[in-house]
Amino acid sequence: MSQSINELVDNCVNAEEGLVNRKIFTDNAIYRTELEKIFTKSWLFLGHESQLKKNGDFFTQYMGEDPVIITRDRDGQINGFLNSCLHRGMKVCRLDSGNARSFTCIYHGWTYDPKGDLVAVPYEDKIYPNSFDRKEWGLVKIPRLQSYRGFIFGCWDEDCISLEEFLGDLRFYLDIFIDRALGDLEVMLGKQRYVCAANWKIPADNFAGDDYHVPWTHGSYMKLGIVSDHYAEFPSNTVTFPHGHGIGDITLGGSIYEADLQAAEEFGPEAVEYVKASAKKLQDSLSSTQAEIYAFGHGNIFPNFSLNDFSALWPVGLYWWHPKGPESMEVWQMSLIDTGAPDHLKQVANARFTHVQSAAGAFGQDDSENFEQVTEATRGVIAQRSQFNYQIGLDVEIDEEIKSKLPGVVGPRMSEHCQRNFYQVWKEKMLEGSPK
Amino acid sequence: MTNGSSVELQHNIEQFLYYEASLLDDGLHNEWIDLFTDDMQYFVPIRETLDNPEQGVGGADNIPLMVDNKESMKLRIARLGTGMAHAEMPRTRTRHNVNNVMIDVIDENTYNVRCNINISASRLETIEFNYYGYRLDTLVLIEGKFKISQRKVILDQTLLPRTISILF
Repeated sequence: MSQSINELVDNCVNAEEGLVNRKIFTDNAIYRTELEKIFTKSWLFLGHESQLKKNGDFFTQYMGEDPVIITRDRDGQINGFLNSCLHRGMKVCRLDSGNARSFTCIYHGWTYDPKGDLVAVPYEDKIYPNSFDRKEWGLVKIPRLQSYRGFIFGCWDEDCISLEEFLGDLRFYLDIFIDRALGDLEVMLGKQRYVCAANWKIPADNFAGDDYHVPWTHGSYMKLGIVSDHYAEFPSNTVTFPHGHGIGDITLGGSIYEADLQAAEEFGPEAVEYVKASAKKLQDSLSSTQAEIYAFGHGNIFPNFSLNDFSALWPVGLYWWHPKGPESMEVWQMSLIDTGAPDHLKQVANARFTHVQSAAGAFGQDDSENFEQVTEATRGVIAQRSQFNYQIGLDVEIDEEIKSKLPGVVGPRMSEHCQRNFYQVWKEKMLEGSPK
Repeated sequence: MTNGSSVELQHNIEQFLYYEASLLDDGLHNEWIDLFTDDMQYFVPIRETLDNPEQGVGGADNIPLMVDNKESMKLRIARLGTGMAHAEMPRTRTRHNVNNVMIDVIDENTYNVRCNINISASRLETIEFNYYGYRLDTLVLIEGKFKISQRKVILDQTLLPRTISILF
């Protein structure tokens, strides 16, 4: 007896009781549906405007499993389109990034400009019928493309909500690291990329609000004294939003700033001055609550883009969990640095970053070990008879004063409400447009 | 091109590199780090597919994979000993294969050594992966023994087969 995808999805997520069926992490039919219902319908983060400084600059990226090119054209406008020739489907660009006047398909030579328009077709006059019109054969454009303060997002659904509405109150928190920077935020060139044999939702759910895993998964850093033994007792919060985003490590009271100031002393007076100037910049630019928070912590923007910002002495980490089948993904990660930071601090920040949440970092390694072995132990018949437990904090009430200060739905640090919301939104999107 | 080297020097340096590789394969990280000078620099850049392939070897403005000095490398090693470095518990089985060793004699105590590396690895039941590329080392002779003062590990892979939990 086979279940329809809708029944399967509906039965798989019970956010009210904090239960999620394991099938959604391994099932191929669910995965194919996700590519359609999640990845072509949601705003997806594509990159940062500092990757496109000059006209003609481009970089390649994925939206779900679809390869795309993002360009800055000769008029300075940002464009995005599917990286696939309209004639026979070949990738028209095989590089990670660069500067180009045009993209010529190596298969038959169809040539497109950085706006995606088809500008040359070999032997066009001799071989194509009179009805052939190059205007109809431009690269498939990403119809909605918009930036939030330098962060470029795209969506395949022309009718989707605005980017502002999609991000909603998350912007209050994103603004913290954007406005704390003394100069501009700029990407370090290139990206780290690695394969992780796990479903893409596992890291997304982790970054959305899993502070619970830190003392155990990242216990090596507690043993070394880098993460405090009292981590679990810190009065910080997790926050979630209507469109499925979740963030954590949101701490009121200024303790993150105090810790940063203390850390800066190790790197000399210039670092101390930089941290103080960053805090001042934040106070002058944003609300007192945002200044109190000082650093954003970690989060996931629905569906598969995560970021973290632990301190002014770290780069902002950007992570894509690109789906590559139900049980595999490519992790892509970039970092943003403040151009206003002293040069040696940029190097310090990068070196610290490579030790923690990165391909060779302690957190990156141990997280990946979890994600892969969860997947390994989840695909079996018996395994799929039990559900994942997301019940932490189901009955916890949050202090009214904290709630009034923090936009979004607020929970304590040790709560899985961000993950419950992630899967609830996932379910709603998967069922969207289907008969009830 | 090997420059200014002798058969004996070539032999001695190759033996040193094989010994060093065996320490990594045997998990003797504390002995391994002793083969580096105190002012060691260790760098693993990312690789990218760009128009000019050499552009793809990370410069100062690229995001690195690893950038370490002796203190930070010792921290990596200390982590492995905490009993909670889960990605290396139990340890990944590795073979660090080193070949195509070419030596450039800078002076009687300083040698730039280029070699190819191919590291095969097996972890738990089903995980198998390879890292491959080349290494640029600077070796110095201190009291008759080689030490590594600089190491640059240039992997050929843009997309790594998994996270980097091993050392090169």
